[in-house]
Amino acid sequence: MAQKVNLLEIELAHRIDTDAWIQSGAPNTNAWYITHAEGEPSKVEEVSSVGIYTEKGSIALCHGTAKTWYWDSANNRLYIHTSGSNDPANYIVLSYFWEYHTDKQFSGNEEIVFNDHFYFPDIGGSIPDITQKVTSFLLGSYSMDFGGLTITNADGKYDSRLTNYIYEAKKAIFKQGDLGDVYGSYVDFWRGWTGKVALNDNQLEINTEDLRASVE
Amino acid sequence: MKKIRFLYLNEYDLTATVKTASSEASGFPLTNLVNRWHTRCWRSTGVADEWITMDLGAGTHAIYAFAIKNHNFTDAAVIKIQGNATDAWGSPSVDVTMTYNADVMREFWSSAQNYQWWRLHMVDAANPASYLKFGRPYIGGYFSPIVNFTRHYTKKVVDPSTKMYSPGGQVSVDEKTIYKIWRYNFDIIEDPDQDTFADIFNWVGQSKGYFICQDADDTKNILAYVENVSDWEFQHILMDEYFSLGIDIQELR
Repeated sequence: MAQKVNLLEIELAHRIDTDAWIQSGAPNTNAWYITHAEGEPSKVEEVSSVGIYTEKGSIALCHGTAKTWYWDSANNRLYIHTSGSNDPANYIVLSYFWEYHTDKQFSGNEEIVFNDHFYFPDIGGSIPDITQKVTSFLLGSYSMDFGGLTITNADGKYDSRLTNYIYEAKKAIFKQGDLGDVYGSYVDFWRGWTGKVALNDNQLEINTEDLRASVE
Repeated sequence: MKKIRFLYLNEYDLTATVKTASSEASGFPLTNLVNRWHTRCWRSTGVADEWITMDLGAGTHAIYAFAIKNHNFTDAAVIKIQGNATDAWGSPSVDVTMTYNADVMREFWSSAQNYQWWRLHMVDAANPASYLKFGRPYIGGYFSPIVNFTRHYTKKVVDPSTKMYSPGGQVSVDEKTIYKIWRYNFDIIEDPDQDTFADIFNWVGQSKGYFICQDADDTKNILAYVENVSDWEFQHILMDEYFSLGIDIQELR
């Protein structure tokens, strides 16, 4: 038997329109950029009826189409072309990126690193029970309660992260596998959304929601 | 047998020490090396000619020890620790090829190597990972007490796995990583050492990780990365200026 390993992945949001945006030089002046310390975003959103931007493969393509973004991995730069083709400071813009947690880490070649992402070994406490129930809306529909998850915060890391990033109402995935498994062999134990978040000196408590519970 | 060595004041972690790497893989920056988790590594983007320089700043630096923990080097790697008065590496004053160990690699010097600039040079061209990594460095001095710990030290191997039994007695196990706990008793601590022991605890307390080398002559005990799991209580014994101390430390995982 190998050791069981739990993974928690949360897609956080980061408000970026208040960053110091720089307009690209000619001929790509519709594209504005910042250094995005969180790495490549999973998506970029303009908070309005515009919604999610489309990813492009170059600065020039980003410049050519409104409501797009481009990730320059060599320079850690995020380029965006807003709906109005002007300064992102005129809008509310969110970038999204995944944060990775695990309950165990290992040395050497057994480290819990998947797709070049290090998983913070800071899941604390026990794994909550899952409760499934049939809802009253439709006999075939059901909801799934997963309880709350605890992330250790003794070093205060999440004090600042809760200031900079939005943890509430975000996608979350809980996976389980065995030490030595490739990422694809981990089983999705639960998929849902984060709910209310509470922080204290010792831990970050993340409650979970199954949005199907609201479809009644 | 050598006396126990405490490698506790890590100059690598000091904010005044300027660290630079030949390359950094995305998501694995050099700043990871000051993180308490030795599993959180720095990664290079290549394997053939990688380095990390450490500018310790002007002034005296009594360097007696260098170590790295949790690496992915192969036994064919050529890993050199180099020291020099300037940031020039053609013919450094210290140029030592480190002996390979699969977990912790270390180098001790019998006299102080007082150099401002240090470089870890890594060549591991056949590394199958196509990158080099390690999780925790140490550079600094070390402390050995005048009187070593007593021979009656204990090393406990702990398996924290959770076991559950069915009514029929069959066992199911949630396996976890085995680790070690040591108990060292220092029956006689002379007065100057008492101050240094106090300095060590003031620096690392129960919160910081540090390295110990139980016996530098014992190749099975290269170096351990540990934390204190209890406070240090100095007991006054017999005459003035003599104390005893028992310390409990556990391997960091």
